[in-house]
Amino acid sequence: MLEVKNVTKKYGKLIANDNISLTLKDGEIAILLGPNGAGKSTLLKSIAGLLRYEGEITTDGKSNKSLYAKSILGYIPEMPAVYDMLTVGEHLEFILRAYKKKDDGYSDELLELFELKDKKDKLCKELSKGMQQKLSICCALVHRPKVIIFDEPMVGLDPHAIKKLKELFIRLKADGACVLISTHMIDSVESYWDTAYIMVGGRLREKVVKGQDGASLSEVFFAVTEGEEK
Amino acid sequence: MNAVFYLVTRKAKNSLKEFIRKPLRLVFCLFIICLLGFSFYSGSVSTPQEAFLRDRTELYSVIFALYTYVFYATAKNGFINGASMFSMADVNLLFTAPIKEKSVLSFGLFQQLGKSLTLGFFILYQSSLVSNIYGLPVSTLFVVLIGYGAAVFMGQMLATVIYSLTCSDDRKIRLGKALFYGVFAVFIGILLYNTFTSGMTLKSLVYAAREKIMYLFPVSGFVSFAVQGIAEKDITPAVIGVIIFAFMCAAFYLILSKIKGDFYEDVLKATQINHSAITARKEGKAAENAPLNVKVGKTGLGKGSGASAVTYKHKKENKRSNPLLINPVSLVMAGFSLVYCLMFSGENIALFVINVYTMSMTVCIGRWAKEFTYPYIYLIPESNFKKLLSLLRADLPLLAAESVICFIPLAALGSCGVAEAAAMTVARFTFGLLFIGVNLLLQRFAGDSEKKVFTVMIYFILATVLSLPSAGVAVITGMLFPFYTALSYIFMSVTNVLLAMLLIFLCRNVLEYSEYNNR
Repeated sequence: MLEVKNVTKKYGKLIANDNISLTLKDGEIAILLGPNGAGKSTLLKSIAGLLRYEGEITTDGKSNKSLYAKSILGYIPEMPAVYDMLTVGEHLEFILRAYKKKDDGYSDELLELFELKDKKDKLCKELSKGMQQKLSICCALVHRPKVIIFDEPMVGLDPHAIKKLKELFIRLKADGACVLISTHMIDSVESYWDTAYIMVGGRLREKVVKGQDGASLSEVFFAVTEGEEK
Repeated sequence: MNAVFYLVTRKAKNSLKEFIRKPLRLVFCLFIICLLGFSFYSGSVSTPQEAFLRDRTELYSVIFALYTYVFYATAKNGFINGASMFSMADVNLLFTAPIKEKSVLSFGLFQQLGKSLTLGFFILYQSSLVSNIYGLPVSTLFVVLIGYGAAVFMGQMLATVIYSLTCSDDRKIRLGKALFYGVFAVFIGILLYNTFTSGMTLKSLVYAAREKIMYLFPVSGFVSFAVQGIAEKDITPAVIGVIIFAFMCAAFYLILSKIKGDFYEDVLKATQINHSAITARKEGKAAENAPLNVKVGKTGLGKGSGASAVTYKHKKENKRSNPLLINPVSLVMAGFSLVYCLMFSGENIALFVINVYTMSMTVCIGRWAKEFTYPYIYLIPESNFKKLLSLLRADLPLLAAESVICFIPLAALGSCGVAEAAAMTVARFTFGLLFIGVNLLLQRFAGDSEKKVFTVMIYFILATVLSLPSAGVAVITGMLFPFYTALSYIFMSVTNVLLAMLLIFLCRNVLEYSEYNNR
C-alpha cells in the first residue's frame, strides 16, 4: 500500500507539488496524468525517496525513506540510465545483491519477457536506448517489489515491448502489487487502469475511478486540463 | 559480497577487459605512456646547473594559483547546480536501493577521489619544467598531482555542502555567496596588500603568495603549502596540511550525512546535467557551453539569405552563449602570455608554440564544427561549398580577435617589437585557418567514425604534420635573415594560408559526403 499525504515540494519559489494526497491499495493500478510541467515526475521522485518534501509518504505503513520501504519499492525513471561498464546480467545481479535477494529464476524470466536474454553478457553501453529502458524495467522488478512506480515507461519501447509491459502490469496487479504509472499515452492505459489522478500546475485536480461515471479517461482528462486552461 | 563492492569491482574488471579488447584504445594508451615516459626520462637525465635554475617560489606560487582556481571554480557551482559524485545510474539504481545513505556517500566520495586525480593527469607532463627550470626531481609531480586531486575533491565536496545548505533559498544563497566570496576577497586583499607594500612587481606578487598568512587560504593555501613542504622535505607544513585536509573532509562528510541526513536531492540536479552532457557527447553533439542566464538581447537574425543565414545564425548564437565573444581558453592564454613575458622576457618563440598548441585544441570546438551535428546545414538548398564558407565565416573574426589579445600585450610590455607582435598575431590566425582545414579533412574522411579516440589521435597527427611546412619555412627564413624575426612569421603565415586554402578547396564537397548521424 502506498500513501501520499499532503505532499508539497518547492524549488525555491516554484511549487512543483502542492499539497498532494493519494492512496493506492494493494493490487491497484493508478495512472498519473497531466500536461508537461504538471509535477508528475517530481511526485514520483519524491515517492522514490530522491527528493525532500513536506508531508508524508509511506509504503506499507513505513516512511518511504526507510530501508524497509526501499526494499519493497521499484522505480522506473523517465530517463533510463544504466552502468556502461556492467553487462545486462550483472545489472540484475547487482540489484539482487543490493536488495539482499536470491536469484529464483525471475531475472531470466524478465529478460526473456523483454527479449534481452541473448544480450545478457553484453555491456550496457552497447545497448540501444529502448533496450536500456527494458533493462531499467527489469532492474526495478527483479526484486519483486510490492509498490512499483513507472515514469513514462512506454517511451522508447517498440510495440512488442509495450504489449509485454501491459501484460506485466496486469500480472503485477494480480500478484497484489500496487502500481503507479505516469504517462501521456492515455489510450494505451484504457484497458487496465483502476484509478486515475489528473495533475495540473502541481495540484491534483481530479481523481477518477474506473466505471464510476460514463466518460472515458481521455474525455475526463481533456475536460479537466482544457477547463483549467480556460 | 556487498552490493556496492560488487559494483566497484565489476566496473573495474569490465573496464579493463573492454580496454584490452579495443586495440586502438590500447595503442592510444601506449602512446600516452610513451610520451609520459619520454617526458620523465628527459626530465630525470638532465642535470641543470644550479646557477641557471629559477627561484622555486615561482613554481609554488603557480601551484597555489592553479589549486585556487580549480577549488573556487568547482566550489562555486554549489550556488547553481551543486556538484555530483554520482552517475545517473547510481541515482536510479543505488539511491532507490535499501542501502544506507552513508554507504552510498562513501561510495560517491571514493569514486570522486579517483576522478579528481585523473583530471590532473596533464600535470605529469611538466617534468622538464620542474627538473630543468626549478631543479626538482620529477617525482615531485606526483605530489603536485595529489594536491590537485585534493583541491578538486574538496571543491566538489564544498559545492555539494553549499547546495545542500542553501536549498535553493535565495536568502541563504545570498548569505552563502557573501561568505564564500568574502573569504576569497579577504585573502586576495591580503595578497595584493603584501604585493603593493613590497614593490608591486611580479616577484613581490610571487613572494606574497607564499607568505605564512596564505597558509590559511581555504584549501588551496594549506594544500599548496603541504605540497611545498613535501617537495622541500620540510615535514611540518606537510603534516599540518594533511591534518587540515582530513579534518575538512570529515566535517563535510558529517554535514552531508548527519546534519542534512538526506543528501540525494542535493546531487540530483548536477547528476542530471552531467548525464545530459554525457548523452549529448555520445550522440556526437557538442554540448552548448552557455551561461546559466542567457541575455537574449535583440531578437532576430536581421541579415542573411540562403547559405549566409548560417553565418548570421552563428553570430547570434556566439553572442548569446558568450557575451565576451572570446573563447575562455583564449582569455586564459592571453593572461598566460602576460605572465609569461613578465617572467621569461624575450622567449617569444616558446610562447608562440604554446599558444598555437593550445589553439589546436580549441579550434575544433568552434560553432562551425557543431553545425555538422544538426540537420539544417545539409538541408539548405545552396551549393555545398557556399554553405561551407558561410559556416566558417562567422568564426573567423573571433579567431582574429583571439590572436590579437594573445600577442599584442607582448609589444605593449616591451617583450618584442610591434612588427614582431603583429606578425605573430597574423601567424596565429593563419594556424587557426590551417587547423580548420585539418578538421574539415578529418570530417571528410572520418566524420562518421564512432572511434572518437582514434579521430582525436589522427587530428593531432595531421595537425602536427601539416604544421611542419610552415615551421620549416620559418626556420629557413630565420637562418637567412636572423635579425628579422617578423619575416619568419610572415612567411610562416603565407605557407599556412596556402595550405589552409588547399585543404578547404579539397574538402569543398564535405557536406555531400558527410552523414547526419544522430548516434
